[in-house]
This record gives sequence, structure tokens and C-alpha cells, in this order.
Amino acid sequence: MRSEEVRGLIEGRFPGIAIRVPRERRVMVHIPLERLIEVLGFLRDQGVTHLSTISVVDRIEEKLFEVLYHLYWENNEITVRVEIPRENPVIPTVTPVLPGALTYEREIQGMFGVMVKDIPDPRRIILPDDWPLDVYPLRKDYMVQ
Amino acid sequence: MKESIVIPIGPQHPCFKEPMRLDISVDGERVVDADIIISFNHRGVEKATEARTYIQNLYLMERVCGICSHSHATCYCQGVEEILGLEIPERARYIRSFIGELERIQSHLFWIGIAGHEIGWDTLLMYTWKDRERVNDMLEQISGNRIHYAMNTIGGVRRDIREEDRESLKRGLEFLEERAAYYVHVITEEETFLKRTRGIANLPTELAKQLCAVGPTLRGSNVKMDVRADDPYAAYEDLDFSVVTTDTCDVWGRGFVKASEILQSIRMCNQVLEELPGGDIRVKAPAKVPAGEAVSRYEAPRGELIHYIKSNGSNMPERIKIRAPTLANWLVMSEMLKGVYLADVAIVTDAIDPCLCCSARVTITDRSRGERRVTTLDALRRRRDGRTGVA
Amino acid sequence: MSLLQWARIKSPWICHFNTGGCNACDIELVAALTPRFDVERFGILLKGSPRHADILVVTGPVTLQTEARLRRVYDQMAEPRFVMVVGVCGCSGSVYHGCYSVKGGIDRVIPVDVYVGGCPPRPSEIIDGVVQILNKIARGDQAADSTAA
Repeated sequence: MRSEEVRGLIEGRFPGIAIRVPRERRVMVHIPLERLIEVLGFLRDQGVTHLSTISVVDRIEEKLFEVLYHLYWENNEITVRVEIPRENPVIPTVTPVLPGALTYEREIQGMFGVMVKDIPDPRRIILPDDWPLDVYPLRKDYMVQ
Repeated sequence: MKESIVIPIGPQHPCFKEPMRLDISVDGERVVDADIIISFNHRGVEKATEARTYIQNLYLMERVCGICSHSHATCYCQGVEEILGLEIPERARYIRSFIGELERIQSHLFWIGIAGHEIGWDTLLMYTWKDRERVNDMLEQISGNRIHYAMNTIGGVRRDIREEDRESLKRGLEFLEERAAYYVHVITEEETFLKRTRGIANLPTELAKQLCAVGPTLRGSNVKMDVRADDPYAAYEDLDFSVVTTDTCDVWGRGFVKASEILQSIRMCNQVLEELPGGDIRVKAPAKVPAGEAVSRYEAPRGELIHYIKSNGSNMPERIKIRAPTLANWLVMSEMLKGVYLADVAIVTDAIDPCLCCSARVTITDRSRGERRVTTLDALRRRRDGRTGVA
Repeated sequence: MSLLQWARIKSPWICHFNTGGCNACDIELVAALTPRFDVERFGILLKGSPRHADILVVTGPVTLQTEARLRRVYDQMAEPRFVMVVGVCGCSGSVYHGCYSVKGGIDRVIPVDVYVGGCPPRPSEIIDGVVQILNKIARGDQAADSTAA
């Protein structure tokens, strides 16, 4: 499927949504947090099952975390972006929609302290056992000695 | 109440690859649950990239993984080139694909050998590793290194395929083609292999898709997904190959896909040698990268590799997110382990090619009685051999 | 040369532990064990258990999580025990130097007898590293851990 068609499909269902196609096979969607499950659910119903990963970017000056869901569907990499406040970083779990998200949700919870509400398995996945619970190494204000 | 035994395997396992731990709950000989702990190998590469320049990061990227170093470096370069809006020369694209396919051949030969080892068939290990040396020779001939080829740079590749090397590379590919055909034959015909892999660790197509498996694991479950075909990069748009899938959804299927992919890779390598365009191998790239972002994807030997790169206008990246294919296969791995025999744990975990196994020490803890027994995987192998009757 | 020395030189069994490296050294180590280089002809055998080994081959920088495990694997070995570090990460931390989850070189945790540099070293260099240890045994030198004590 061409990227413009994907864009049309999403725009048709969610008019006024911020969406751009930087190049063929890449679609970037920017949505408010409260529509996350709705948009991912819609994409799932269209046949999107593959979540490549979830990335987080710490935009410390703007006091924001950017959470990006990299989905893959019919030759297109669809990136769904939400922004959450840095002082209260909570996102809902997307595992009911995309069960494969569990690994990545566990990862970002440990690495960034982005709390995932109702996550089925809250244990950290990557950090050492004795790593302090409230230190998140990938945040920008964590400095390496 | 039924007695449940938790068997931790690892983290020290003497043969190869990373330290990691598997906590396997068993009921008798059957695995009921599996938990994988991978934090042993965490070094903090993603954080380190933010304090290094784009060129310094090249060296770091290669060292994310020693087996697929070209994959990480290419994926990273592609992303940075996309932000820069840099068009790399045709010849560089072909050379990237060539090295990438040689890397896939060595990685898959590596896997066949390790799989042989896991089912107690060391002859296969020795055979494949002997042939694998030929690939390493070819890589050394081009790049000067057996591992960590250091071929990539932002804007192209660092070394050319020289005209005088073409003949010996062709001969090498010819040799490998003959050997690869033999290994496909071994995997499809040899009873030793079939008996240990057919019908083991089923991963139905739907489950594989839902849990976001990647690479040969996914293609072994009959899903036709390959970044080289779906989202072509480097020279793959111009190369002929077919995406191999099977519908057996078991360990054997994953092995068959890998072995058949070697033949496809050789086909592509031959085509590159035939059609290699002339011209430069790199263009000059600026040290500073304008603000922007890119999602770069690559089909590593183990599956889809994805880098998300965000730049901020300086000579250091704002954020690089790396998702290696093995991480994507964790969830399916614990699913696949449920219900298999304890003796098959080694080959099942190895089927996703995770960098695990071999003769790790195993502690059996009997929770209900609080007993601790210590055994080794070798002892487990002996138990298995007694069960299947294979000498 | 004593009988024990002679026996040790003829069968230096090794045990391998990756403390968080990138696998490159590990595959070169395995390459050294397979037909092209075939170290078994020198009596070098890879063993699963550290209790059976004379030489501990360590690859990779020490990560926070493996530090205690490395110490434990080392403590399980019978004396005289020798440690060989393969790859520049294990020597100094190398490219991972300064990463938050990396402690540094192997010698910050256990005493080391032989350092094999390179990223990754070739199988022939790994074999040379073992030969250095054999020379050490032949000369009757002490292992690094006993001299440190």
C-alpha cells in the first residue's frame, strides 16, 4: 500500500489529525494521549499487528516525554507519537490491543520511568538486579560519571 | 498440590554468546512456564551514543553485536543519511548489500552448527564451522577483518571490492553454494535432525503475528515478512531473491528457513559481483547533522532491526533507540517453551538464534522440599538421549 | 619438570565466561576450537564447568550484573587457576568505557594472567595467549592470584 493511501485512511477516520509522510513507506502520526488506544485499536482493526518497538525521547527543556510507537503495516512504517508531561509520566498499556508491546513497555518503564498503567508484568527487563528503583539511566538529567 | 520445579539455566554457559538466565518451571519433564532474564549483558550503549559524535558512534554501533556488526552499522548510517538527505553512490549500496549477505551466510552457518551442538550432534558443528571460515576469509579479503568489518561510514562504504578479488570471491561463493545445498539436504533428510526438531515448539501463525516475532522465527511460521523485500534498502530493490517461508511452524521450519536463506544470499552475492556498478564508493558527509528524525530498518540475520535516530543540529545525536531482533523474539520464546520437554529447551531457545545455551550449569531447586540439586546440561543431554533412544 | 607440571601443560582445559561483550571474541574463541584452528590437538578442551577448568577465558567488559557472577565462577575453580582475557574490552573496557552499566576491565574484579588484545583478536592470537600461560606453567611461575595474595 502507498503511504498516501495509509494517510488517507487514517485521516478519513480521524479528521484533523496531525499526520505527515516524510518519504515513501514512512508515516508519522501525532496524536493526543487520550486518543492513543482508540487510534491503535483502529489500526489493529485494519490489520496492523506488528509493533516494531516503542521509543521514548526525553525533551527536558520542554518538560516532555515523547513516546513513539513504531508500527509496521503493508510496507509502511507508521510511527504514532504521543507527548506526556515529564512530572507525571503515565501512559496506558497498549497490550490489550497489541500483545507484543509487553517487552517494550517493561523496557521503557525501567529505562525512562515512564509508568505504564495496568501493565501485565511490571518487572524491569534490562537493568541489573541491584539498580536503584528510582534512577532512570536514559533520562537526560542522569549524568554518566 | 502438584510439585513445580524451577530450573535456572545460566548465566555462565561456557560455549558462546551473552550471559543470560532462563528460569524454567517444570512439571515432571514438561516445561510449564519460562522466564528470561537478559540484564547481564546490559552495557548502556544507547546512553553512550548521546555523548559521542556521529563518527565515533559508528565504532560503537558495530560493537553492539559481534555477529551482526554490519547490520547495526548499516542501519545507523542509513538513518543518519536520511536526516542529512544524503544520496549515497550506487556502488556503495551494492557493496553494503554484498557484505550484509556474506554476514547472513556466516551467521546462518553459525546457527546450523550450534543447532547441531544443541541436539548432541557435534559433527555438524565442526562441518559448518569449517565452511564458515571460508566466509570469514572472503570478508577479510574485502575489509581486512574477519569480524567487525568496519565497512560502513556515513555517506557510503570505506573499502571497495577490487577487480582482482572478483575471481576468488566467485570461487568462494561456488564452494559455499555447494556446501549450503548439502546443509539444506541434511536438514530436510537427516533423521537425526528431523527427529529432534519436527513438531517441537509450535508457534502458530496467528500467535507469531500477535506477539510481533521477527525474522526466520516469523517466516518459519508462514508469515512472509522480510524488510529486504517489504522496505528495500541498500541495493535490494535491484536484486533478485525470494523470501523463504514454511508452514510447519516448528523448530525444523526455523532451521529450514535459515538454511534456504543461505542459498538466496549466495544468489544475491553472485548478482552483485556481476552487476556491480562503477563510480565512487562514498560521498563526503558533514560532521554536523541538522535537527530531524529518521526510522531506519534493516533485515539482520536474526530478523528486523530498527533504529530510531533523532538529531538536534549538533555533531552528537539527541537520541538513538536500538531494537535488536532478538528482543522482539523474547515473548514468543517463552510461549514456545511452554509444553516442550526439558531436554528440548536447549534447541528451542536456540531456534530463535538468541545467543544462549550450551553446557550451562543448571541448578534444580525443588521448592516444596527446599532441596537443591545441581546438574549440568550434559546430564540433561544424557537424560534426553535415554528418552529418544539416540546414541 | 614435575609430573604435575607436565600434566598441566599437556591438558590445559578452559572454561569460557562472557561478562557482557559483543560476541565477536566469543565466536573467534569458538572458531579456535573448530577444525581450521583446532586447538584440541594441543590438549585444549572447552569445559562446561569452571570446576573442571585450569584456565578461565573471559571476554567482554564487566557489567554491573555479571560482576558478582564472575567472582563466583572464579572462586569455583580449583587452584592453580589462570585467567586469560580475550579482547580489548576485557583489558580496559575499550569502547564501552564510561557506560553507566560497565565496571571496566576484568582485572578490576579478578587477577589476570594474560591479556590478549584486539577487537576481536584472531583465533591464532587466542592460541598464542594460551601458549603464554603454558610457558608460565613450564617456568614454574605462580598464577596471578597467588602472587597477589
